[in-house]
Amino acid sequence: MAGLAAAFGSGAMTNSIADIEDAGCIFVIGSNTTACHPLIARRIFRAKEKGAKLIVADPRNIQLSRFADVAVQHRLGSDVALLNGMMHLIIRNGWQDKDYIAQRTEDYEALEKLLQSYTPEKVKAITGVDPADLENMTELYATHPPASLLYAMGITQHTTGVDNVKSCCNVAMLCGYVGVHGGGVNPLRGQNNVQGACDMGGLPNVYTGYQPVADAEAREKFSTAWGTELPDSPGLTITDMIPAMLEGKLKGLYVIGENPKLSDPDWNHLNHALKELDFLVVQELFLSETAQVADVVLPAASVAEKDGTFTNSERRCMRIHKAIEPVGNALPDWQIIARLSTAMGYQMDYASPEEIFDEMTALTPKSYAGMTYERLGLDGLQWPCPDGQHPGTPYLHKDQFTRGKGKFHAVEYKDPAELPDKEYPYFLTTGRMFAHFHTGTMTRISPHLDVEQTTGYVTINPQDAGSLDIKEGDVLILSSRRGQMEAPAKISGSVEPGTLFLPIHFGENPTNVLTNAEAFDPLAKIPEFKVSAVNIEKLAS
Amino acid sequence: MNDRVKRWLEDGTVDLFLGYKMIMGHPLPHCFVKEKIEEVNDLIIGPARYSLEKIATHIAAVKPDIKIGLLARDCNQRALNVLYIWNQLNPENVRTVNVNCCPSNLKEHGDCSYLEHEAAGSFKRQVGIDNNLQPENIEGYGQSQRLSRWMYEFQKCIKCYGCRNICPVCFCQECSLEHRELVGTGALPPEIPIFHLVRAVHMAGRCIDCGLCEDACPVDIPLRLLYQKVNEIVSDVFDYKTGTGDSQSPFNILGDTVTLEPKPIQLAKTAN
Repeated sequence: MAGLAAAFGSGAMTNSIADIEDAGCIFVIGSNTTACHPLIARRIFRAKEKGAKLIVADPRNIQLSRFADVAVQHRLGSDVALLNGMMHLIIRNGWQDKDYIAQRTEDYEALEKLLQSYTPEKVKAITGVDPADLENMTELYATHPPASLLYAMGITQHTTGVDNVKSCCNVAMLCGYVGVHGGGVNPLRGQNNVQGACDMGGLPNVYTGYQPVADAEAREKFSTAWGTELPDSPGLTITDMIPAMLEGKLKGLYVIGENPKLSDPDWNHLNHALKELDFLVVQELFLSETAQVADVVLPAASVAEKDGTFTNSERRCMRIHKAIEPVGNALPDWQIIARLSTAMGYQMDYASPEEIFDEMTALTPKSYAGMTYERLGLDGLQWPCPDGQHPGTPYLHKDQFTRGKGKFHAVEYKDPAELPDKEYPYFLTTGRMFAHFHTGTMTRISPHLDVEQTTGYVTINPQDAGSLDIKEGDVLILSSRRGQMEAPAKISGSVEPGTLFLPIHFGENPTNVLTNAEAFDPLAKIPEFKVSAVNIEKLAS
Repeated sequence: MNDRVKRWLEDGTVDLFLGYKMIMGHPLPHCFVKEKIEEVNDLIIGPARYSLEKIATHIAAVKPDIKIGLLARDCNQRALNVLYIWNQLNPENVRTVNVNCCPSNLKEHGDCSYLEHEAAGSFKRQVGIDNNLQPENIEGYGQSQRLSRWMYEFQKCIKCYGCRNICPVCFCQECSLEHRELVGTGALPPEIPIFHLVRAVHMAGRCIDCGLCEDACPVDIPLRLLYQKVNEIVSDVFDYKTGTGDSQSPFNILGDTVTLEPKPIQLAKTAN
């Protein structure tokens, strides 16, 4: 989101899910869309069947690759080089939108200069992508307007996550695809309400609608509304919290709807940190791995047991309706937080989530101000929706960017933090499979979903399996500089020789024993889950 | 219609009535009851279709003696017939308000205009199967093209089970599609074509051609066409017309591990 905000001024999917169908070309990079965003995959298939071109760039051969006009498997973490290579060819062929660049963007010259060195040959050396494929994909993207670029965690979970996003923004602006129906730069958010949580200020440095904590005027406004003086310095990101716990600066942790024992990048490191805490509170639906070690578990109501709103990937704020009363002594999150706050000395009295919503919209003028429960109806509204008559915004940056002009960033390629070497000769990447959601807290207890995949596994190329005499289902020991874990082998050509894939859903095969907490993007603080170096050996039978 | 439904609820002809109600601009399935009789004024016919009879089987599984009224188009009526034949609903306990299909004079086929697909796109026509085609059009493709075109459609599958979950005549306690020995697990697309063929075989003599599966399919696989073909075979070979008559299809594929027993009604009775 930091990359998008720097380039465009707004950290969200620029376009709508439905308008992907009207794209002339769809470029999917770092997203296994059919498995992770199946209903967005629906739009891709429909666009493709209507005649749109499809480009897939993913280190793995995924389901969507079968449908692509060009599918490339670029080396893990080489996205900036690939995108720079595309832009090099766009400029060489004169496919860039010169009027758009002149009128709507800034800092183009520095980028153009940097791109000169990203020849197809150099790009092949870094990414492994054949120059002919690079030329084909570039031509498809640049000459089939409007092109929609879709990305997910395959772009962001890198030490160069922000650089990767900036490069996606660069290529889209270069062709004039931002601010048009059917185009855009579209990050696919991983959870139903992660956009909403960010919009609500669920980040350490902003209030609702991304109003900065450091901004005196915003702080004053919220201090007045809430009748209490608010701190003027941003809080800690999760990546900063762990060292703070280890140093004894952070003594209590309150975790709501997260399972860091599995989702944090370094299992061993996190467990040390958790032990240093005086007090751990986890608010959850089920007893997740993290809840199991908590001092107190607060039972939260599920989606069917509460009223409220979710804001999805396309900035659409929608109502949720309570279907049943909360089971047992569970409560909706807002009630738990209000009671806790009251008990700690700050009175929170709300009769309903609607009252909270109305308070929020009154304090969030640019994006949510025009929304009410009544106006949301069944279909919801897409922000920005600044006043009561505003119909919502299907795509952003129409006549001008949120920040005024779109900003090009000249981004030089950097290697991932860890590359294979003699000791750890394999690339490891992590991700999801279709039947499970994140750390499996919910999906692994559903028999219909669990039947699809009951244990963790490691995907290995047939060639590597052959040379190590590994058969399907053999248990492998994977080790990295952080630790080691075991998983049964799944032999598949979906990964290239020299690359392994681990799904993140399985607590008994915790991927984060291997991944690296030291490697994260310096700005966004997102860990490099997508690239580490590991060694494997077969478990002696 | 609304008066009749009110009367039925008031005099106890039915304990509840399944129909549609417009909620915030969307016609949604709704359960009308005597306690909220004024809601019946909002009962509407269309244009939405949903397998109301499937909801009825779920209610009957819990309360076998409850008397259920429902709005029935031609396809709902054919589905009800299949559900009666397979002991999923007791006809004594079901009353229908029969309504015309969406404007159409093709009552014999139960086609409704709502089912008309948008024109297939150029790429789909080139490599896949146009959802508007009829079984005889597909024969024209010849064997190898037929296979490649069906495989193109199947490999889009995201294994959401929407086709099964919406199907008014899918009622098995244990579903073959979730049987590891029949269909492999853990990958997308699912094992093809077996995933779709297992379901197709189950639809032979069962599918009442309502087309809800195809409506539900997020990736536009022409499922209705596939099941029309298997029903055509059942009709040709056994002279059995699904959805009409009062006997179960002579084509049966009950295996050792996959069983249709116990039926929900009997299960509920045993449980009492």
